[in-house]
Amino acid sequence: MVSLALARMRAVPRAATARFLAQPVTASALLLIVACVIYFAAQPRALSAYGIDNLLDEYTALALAAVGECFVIITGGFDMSVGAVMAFINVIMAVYMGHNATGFALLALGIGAACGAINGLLVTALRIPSLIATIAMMFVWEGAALFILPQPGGSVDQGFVVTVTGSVGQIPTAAFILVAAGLLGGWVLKTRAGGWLLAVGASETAAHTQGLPVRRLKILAYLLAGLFYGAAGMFFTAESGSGDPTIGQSFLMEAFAAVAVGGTIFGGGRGSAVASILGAFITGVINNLLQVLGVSSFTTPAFYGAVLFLAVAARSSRLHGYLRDAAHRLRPGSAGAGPPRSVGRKGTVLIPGGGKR
Amino acid sequence: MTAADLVTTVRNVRAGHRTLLQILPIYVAVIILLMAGEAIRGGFVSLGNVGSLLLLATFTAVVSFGQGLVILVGGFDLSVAWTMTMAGVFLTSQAQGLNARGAWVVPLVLAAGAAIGLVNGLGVAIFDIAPIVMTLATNVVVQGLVMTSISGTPSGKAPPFLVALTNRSWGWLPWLVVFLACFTVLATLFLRATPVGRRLHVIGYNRTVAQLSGIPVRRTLILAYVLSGVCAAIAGMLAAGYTTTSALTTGDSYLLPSIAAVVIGGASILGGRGHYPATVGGAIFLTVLSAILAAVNLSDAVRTMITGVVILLAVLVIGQRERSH
Repeated sequence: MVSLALARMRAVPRAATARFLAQPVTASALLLIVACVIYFAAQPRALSAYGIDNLLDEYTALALAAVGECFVIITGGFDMSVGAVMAFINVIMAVYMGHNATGFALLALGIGAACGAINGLLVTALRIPSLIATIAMMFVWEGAALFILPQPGGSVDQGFVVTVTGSVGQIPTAAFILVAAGLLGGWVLKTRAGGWLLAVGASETAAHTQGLPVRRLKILAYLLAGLFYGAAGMFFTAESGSGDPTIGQSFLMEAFAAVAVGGTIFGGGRGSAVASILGAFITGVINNLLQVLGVSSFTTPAFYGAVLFLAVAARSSRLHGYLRDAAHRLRPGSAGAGPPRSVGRKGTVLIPGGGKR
Repeated sequence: MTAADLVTTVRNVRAGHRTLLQILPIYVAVIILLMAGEAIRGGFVSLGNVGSLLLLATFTAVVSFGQGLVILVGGFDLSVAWTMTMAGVFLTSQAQGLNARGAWVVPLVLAAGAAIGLVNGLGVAIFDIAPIVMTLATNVVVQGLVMTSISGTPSGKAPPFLVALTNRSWGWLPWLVVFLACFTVLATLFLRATPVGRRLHVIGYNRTVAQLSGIPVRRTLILAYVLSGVCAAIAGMLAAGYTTTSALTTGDSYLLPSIAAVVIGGASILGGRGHYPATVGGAIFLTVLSAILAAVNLSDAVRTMITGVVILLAVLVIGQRERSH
């Protein structure tokens, strides 16, 4: 139990190792390794170049969507339009692309960014709460996708499919895309503007008082998110090789789960793009593991929900507080003297302009 | 936190009482929509049609009460989707179209709804998990449990008394509309005239003030989620009664309308402000809108798009905007 161990470590002044392990990226990486070890033990065949290539292809679209969603959640919003934007881009590519793959790959990113910018403007210029603005846009893009392609179908240029889902040398293209997304997402949050995004999420009022351009930062977050949805929609198109206007709902739920498992705090102020990618693969590997173990597809969601709950609960600072108190009470010598009742702590300290500490 | 904060909080919570102005706009919007419907198709505003529109709005209105309570305390409940489906599926599969069996199935389903809400409430209030994540997790857990227990195919029939409640009418006035009226009055009284209702408002408006005033914040939060689970269960059973059978997609189709009705009704998505009669108006608005779009010969695609745009417009005109910097 990682969380229990962490709680024990926190009973003493927090050691550097504990701080390192508690970081979203490290914690997610550990979780992913554990999940992978169990998965590969249950299905040794998956531990091959072919198996890993498959795994990457299967969940890269979700990982890209999660990175996008993460940007919005970091600023304290929600983006419910993630799946619908992906579906919209997916059907546009499946219906109109023909053999102009490069042009449409760029177009996908452009459409994604435009959809994101619209969300951003609705939330900032028109001051519509993000949840409801993005639900409304979700309807719009879902409808637009259905309008272009009422039934699943369409076709995708084979060259495009081979390029995106194939490999460069021995390494799958998906791996390059993921590393690029991780570097880009991670870099953005390390820049000055990225630190400001986190600051807006931690406290909009404080960020405003500090003189940060809150509105422009929020638009930037939605725009970046849209850009990643564009990439996700494009990758999904290549991976599925066809168009499907109904993919939105499942991607919405899975993207939220991936971001949450990656340790990004809902409500804003703390989060990591890289951890969101890892989160997508944690949920993906668990999903595959359940299939391998022969769990019926009816039961899978229950396990999925339980994992989501455990991953989030393990990070709950309130829970760590309870455990710390319990550990304190159990320690000999402290009996009788009431332990300090610890209150859940609220994330890291933010310094606008300086990133997070 | 100062005494001034406490005073503003109390004043803001109390100010909600006096104002009818926050309930009226959504009903004006409903009337405009009805007139548009009449213009598009004659006879849209007949007693019979309005009665059946109100009947259809009841399901959304009931699930929106729970959703509204949770939004009032600053959360969301995504688990209403599968709680509703669970209620419908268990009602039909266990009652098998018999009143005698229905008599014990209905309380059990209500208890199951409450249990789901309790889990949500514990996660949010005790473990401090973000409501959207917690309720998303319970939603998929309930989905998995329901799908496993029925092997993916709903069966059976709703008990006759529920079928009667949801389908019979006195002349043009459906029984269910009378039910909705009573439900609305009781729910509003609960929110406005009981200590618990006021506590819910204070918690949503400013949780720190609530804590300092000695309100049992965690217990009240849990109660909001439990009530949301119960309301979703009621709505699910009513929907199953209306169609006599149950379907797996029922709940999902009510999730977003349940949130939209609350927001169009002018409640603040950040919590603390909202009026249930306005939420009922929001539910009616959404129902009338989809009836009009169904009357016009449009494809599903265009209907979905128009729904999105109209929700945006409605929020723009009557909804609560976010504070802006």
